[in-house]
Amino acid sequence: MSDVVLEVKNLAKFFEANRVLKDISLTVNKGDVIAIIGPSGSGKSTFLRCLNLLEEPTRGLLSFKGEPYFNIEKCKDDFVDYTKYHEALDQYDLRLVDAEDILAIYQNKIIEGYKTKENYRRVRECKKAYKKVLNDRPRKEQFFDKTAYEAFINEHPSMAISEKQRNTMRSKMTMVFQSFNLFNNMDSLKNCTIAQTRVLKRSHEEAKERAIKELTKVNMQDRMNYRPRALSGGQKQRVAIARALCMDPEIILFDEPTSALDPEMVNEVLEVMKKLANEGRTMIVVTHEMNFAKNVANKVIFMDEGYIVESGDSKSFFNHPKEERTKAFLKKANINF
Amino acid sequence: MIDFGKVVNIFANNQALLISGVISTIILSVFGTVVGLFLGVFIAYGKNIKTKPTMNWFKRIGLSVVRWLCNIYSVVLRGTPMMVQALIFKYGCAALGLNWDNIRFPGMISNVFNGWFFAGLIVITFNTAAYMAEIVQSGLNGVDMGQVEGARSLGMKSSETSFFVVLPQAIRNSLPTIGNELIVNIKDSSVLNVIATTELYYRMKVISSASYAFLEGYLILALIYLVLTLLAAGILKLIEKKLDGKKISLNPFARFKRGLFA
Repeated sequence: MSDVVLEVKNLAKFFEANRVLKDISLTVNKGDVIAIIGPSGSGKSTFLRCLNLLEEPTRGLLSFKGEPYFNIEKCKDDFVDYTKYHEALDQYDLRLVDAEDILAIYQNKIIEGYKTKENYRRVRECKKAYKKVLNDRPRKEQFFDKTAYEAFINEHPSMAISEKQRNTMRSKMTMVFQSFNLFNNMDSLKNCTIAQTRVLKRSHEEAKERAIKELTKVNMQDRMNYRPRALSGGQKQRVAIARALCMDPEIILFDEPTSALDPEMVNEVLEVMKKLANEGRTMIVVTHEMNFAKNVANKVIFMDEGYIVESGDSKSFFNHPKEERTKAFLKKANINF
Repeated sequence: MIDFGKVVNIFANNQALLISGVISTIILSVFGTVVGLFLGVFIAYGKNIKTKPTMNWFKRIGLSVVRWLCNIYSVVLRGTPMMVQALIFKYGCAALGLNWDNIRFPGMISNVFNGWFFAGLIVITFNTAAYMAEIVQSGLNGVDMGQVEGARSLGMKSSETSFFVVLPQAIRNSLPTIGNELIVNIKDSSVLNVIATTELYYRMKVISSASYAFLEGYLILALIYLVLTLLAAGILKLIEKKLDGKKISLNPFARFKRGLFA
């Protein structure tokens, strides 16, 4: 029995020139616990945020239980002629260096003491020329094939769901954050009930009952009337997990849930997460806890520089890594093993 | 120097006027602050509007115009004295053919509620709204983006997020400044006497000039304002505590008792 809950194909996310996610494909089956590991800045968190559309992906296909909720096959960036663009950039660099050199020659003359009117005039002219060159910097838009892009868009209209559908989508894929993000103006109980009454339209009594049940599960039943600032980090994170559980999510996304906690609190949060994994919940966990990835997760993904370098089930991944990059990372990370 | 006979006289002969003055000052400042805060929230959201290049040009221009109007409103109303605003309002209304003097109520109630009182109420409300817009805007921008993300990740709409999560925190964080605005309003409502708003200062001016008790009159006036502002500050502290989810007690000795036995 392997029902596919979430399918990701060729997902990419660019922040202007910064290409955070380049090409990521992944299938998540029901009951999977997937651990995503990798160095900082490799795009793990961005990937997770793209899944529930907190961050808008640049291109890719995302589908939930077979129904696509985000589908852009090709983005504007795919229609930029990069070979020509880079050629133009190279030529431009040469021109820029030339302009800089000529400017430097006359500036040096002045510095050396030849402070004639003629030299000052030349420096002014060179500065003007230099600025002109700066303005001519080739831009991507010049190499963008607009007609081809529009033709493609007409044939394959990009699909993005409406804001309302997005919200129901998000309530099925709740997220637990590194910095907790509990609502500071409400106590733990209200934190758990507010989204239930607003999004799932449950009655107050029903929501309260459910919240108490989930708070008991994470062992926070005696701190229900405390505000987040009166709780310790581990307690906050457990309330955040309870808040996510209240929404009956199909998938729970964990974005480095233990990174802001001290070792003692890490364990209390990991205990709760183990419990959830044993219940058979589908979870995607971005983590730096190698022990958790090894023992609890059934699939491990190693990400680096916007790509999935290696993925596999946790035993074989840690015992027999294939790629050199993975080996290097594990060697550095596994000092305690 | 201070003639205590005159002091007694002021209290003995003019209770009705003084009390009506105090009541109208309280109503002016509290109503002005609360309604001004309400308007200010809208203006703050207007000032915070951000346009995206993905919007169509019609929507973009519309939103920019709204933002500009809100900015201009807060700049103009904060950049001119309330006294001048009141006079402009008075003569502007006169030019449009509206004389606030014509609005009268029969009986004692007209001591507080009369035409110029309502004119003053309008001026102080719209003046406060400009300050409140600035206060609320900085409060809104001060709320951590993580709060918004937390709410959005649970599937809450952006309107629900701002109403249940962001706005309460923004108001709570700027409550000391809002309270400051209330105290300023209690004192600054006195400038509305230029349009004959019958508030406390206006009443005392009349009383003291009728009885030639200027020093005594204004000393008493200062004392009354001091008591009012102290009361306002105390009530605001209670509201702050309440919003923080702490237990509040109206018994002034409660703290003392707790100190002794706990």
